[in-house]
Amino acid sequence: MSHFSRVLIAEDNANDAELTMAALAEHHLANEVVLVRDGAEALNYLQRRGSFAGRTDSQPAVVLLDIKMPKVDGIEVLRQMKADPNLCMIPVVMLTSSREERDIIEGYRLGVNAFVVKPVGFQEFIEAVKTLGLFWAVLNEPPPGSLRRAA
Amino acid sequence: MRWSVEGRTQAGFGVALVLLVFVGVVSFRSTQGLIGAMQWVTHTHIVIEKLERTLADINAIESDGRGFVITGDERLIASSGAALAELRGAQAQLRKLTADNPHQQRSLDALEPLLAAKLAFSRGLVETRRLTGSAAAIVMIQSGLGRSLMANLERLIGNMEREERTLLRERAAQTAAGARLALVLILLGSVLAWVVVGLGLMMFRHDMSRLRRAEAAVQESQSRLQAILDNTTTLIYVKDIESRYLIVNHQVESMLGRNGAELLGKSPFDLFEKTIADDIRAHDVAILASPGPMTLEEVAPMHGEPRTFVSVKCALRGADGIAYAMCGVSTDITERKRDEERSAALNASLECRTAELVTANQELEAFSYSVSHDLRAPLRHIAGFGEMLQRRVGPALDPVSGRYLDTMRQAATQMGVLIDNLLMFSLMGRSHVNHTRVHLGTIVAQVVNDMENELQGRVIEWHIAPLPEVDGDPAMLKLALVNLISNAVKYTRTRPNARIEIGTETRDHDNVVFVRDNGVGFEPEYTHKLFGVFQRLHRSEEFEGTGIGLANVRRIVHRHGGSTWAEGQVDRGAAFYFSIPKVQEAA
Repeated sequence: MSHFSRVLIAEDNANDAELTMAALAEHHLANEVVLVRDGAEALNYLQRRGSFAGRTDSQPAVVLLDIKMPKVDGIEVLRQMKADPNLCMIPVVMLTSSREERDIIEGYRLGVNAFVVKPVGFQEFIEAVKTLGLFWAVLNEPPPGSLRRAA
Repeated sequence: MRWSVEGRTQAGFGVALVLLVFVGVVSFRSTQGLIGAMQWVTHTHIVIEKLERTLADINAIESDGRGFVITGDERLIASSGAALAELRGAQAQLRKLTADNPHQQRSLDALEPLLAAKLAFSRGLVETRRLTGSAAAIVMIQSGLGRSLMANLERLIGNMEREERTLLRERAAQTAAGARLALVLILLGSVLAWVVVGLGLMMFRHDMSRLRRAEAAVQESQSRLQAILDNTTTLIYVKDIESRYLIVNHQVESMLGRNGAELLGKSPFDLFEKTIADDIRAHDVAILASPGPMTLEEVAPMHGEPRTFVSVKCALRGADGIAYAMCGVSTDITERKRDEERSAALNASLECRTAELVTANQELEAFSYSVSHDLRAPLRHIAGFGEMLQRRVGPALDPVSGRYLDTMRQAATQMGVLIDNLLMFSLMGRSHVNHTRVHLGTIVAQVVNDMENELQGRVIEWHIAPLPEVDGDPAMLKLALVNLISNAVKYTRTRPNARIEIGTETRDHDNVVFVRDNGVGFEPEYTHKLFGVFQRLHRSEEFEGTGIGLANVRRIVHRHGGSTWAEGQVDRGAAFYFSIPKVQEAA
């Protein structure tokens, strides 16, 4: 991997978080992953507030959001990001357990960049995470302000 | 322009009157002329008589004179004085009578000296006889002076007489002409007047017959109107300003159980109990004060049972705007009201039920949402961590432990598929059917193409007939066809020469599509179970599956307004049919 920029993952479920990290590690994509455990934390990170008030590094190249999270859910994070002029250009990928139509419609209505249903099979899950990581963190040209680093 | 009957009659009588006045004037004038002419005739006769009297008197005086000359008898001339006086009187009268005629006056002027000379001669003759005897007198007579004077007198008087007669003839002729003209005019005028009167009479008769016809037409239309009034199902009536009935139709009579004659002149107070009559009267008073019609609901008893009427009433007003009566049309809405109440009650219970169903649906939706999120996650974790465990320790595990781990992972994956299918089944029941034109042939081609991987190593003889276009949701119909075709592929797996036929039958109102195979088939007595959820006719070890595929097919087809059925025999293949209505129907 020649370049890999930072990925923000918002995932409340520890098992899912671990599986996601394992999948990224499988493809050597886990170096620049920031993991937050709910929507509120994700917004704090992105807006440099609360425990992330002193953060000075660049914004992530892509945000992976779980839909069902405590406090602030993924849809709400997406809504606030797209309403914020500083964050609206960061690509957002929704990771969800279900193909519930209303979530998908709402996500696209709010301007989500991709919508991925987590497969039950681990092999497929690894493939999906790999594809996502490769596309959004490596191949995609991020908006200005998201620094790309040599891997 | 059409004249009114009165106008024409008046004009006709006017013309007749003018003609009669004209005739009257003409006859008056001509009678006047005749009277004038008659006076003139009398006048002329008098003049002629006076002239003749004059001549006679002179002759008398002369003959008396001669007699006296011959006889010397004084008695003979005793009457001469009277004749002379008469002569003078006649002269004065003639002067007066012919005062308007200058010619006759001039003749009189000429007559007077002659007369004077003649009288003087006669007097001289008498004097001569008295004084000198008869010889001298005879000499005077023989001188012929007397005769010549007499001849002149006779000629002059004769002229005057002729003149008078000529005038008389002229006047008579004029009068006769005037009388003839008057006669003609009177005749013509009378004839015309009769003609006009006749015409007037004819017109009058014509108008009268028209009036009679109009009257008959009015009568007919009135009876027609009454027939219409009587044959409606509504109550129609006219009441005076005191609410007394003036006109009623049959319905009113039958409602009140009395005939029309009994009802006329009756007020509500004569027919209903006071509370009802008060209501009706209050309505009537309001209507008389209202500028337009009013629609009211009224209750009145009919055969002892209270009935509800919707009444449209309005005041009838004269040209001065003052109400002189009111009319009303009342429709018995008792049944309708009961129906409305019944349907309102039904609606209320239906709404209640709908609300319950909506709640149940929402709960179901929340449940399936929760299932899809919360049940899938642990499965993913079992499968994921199992996989990671195998990667870490797999090579070190004994074969039995390895098989346990594999079974766990497969079971988790199988349950994931089951949940996915179940969710899909639920989604097919809930999601909206997007109707559009769907080429079933194209979809079948896609489905077969998508199965490429599954079909590797299989020998299948496909018979795909041209399929119809239908109205439906392409995604749903594709899912139905995927289920049917993959079933056919699955259950022909044991056949070395698998044969799958996809075709169509056209019916009057439906397009029917079938998928037929020569696979393992099924026992016909279980046909009714085929399309149920989780219903399977084969063990999973024989043919994998969740028992949801055909249930999904049935649900999708039902939501398109169609139906599904199947035919099959054990080991002799199966055929699955579905129909889609040709006309788009509400899903």
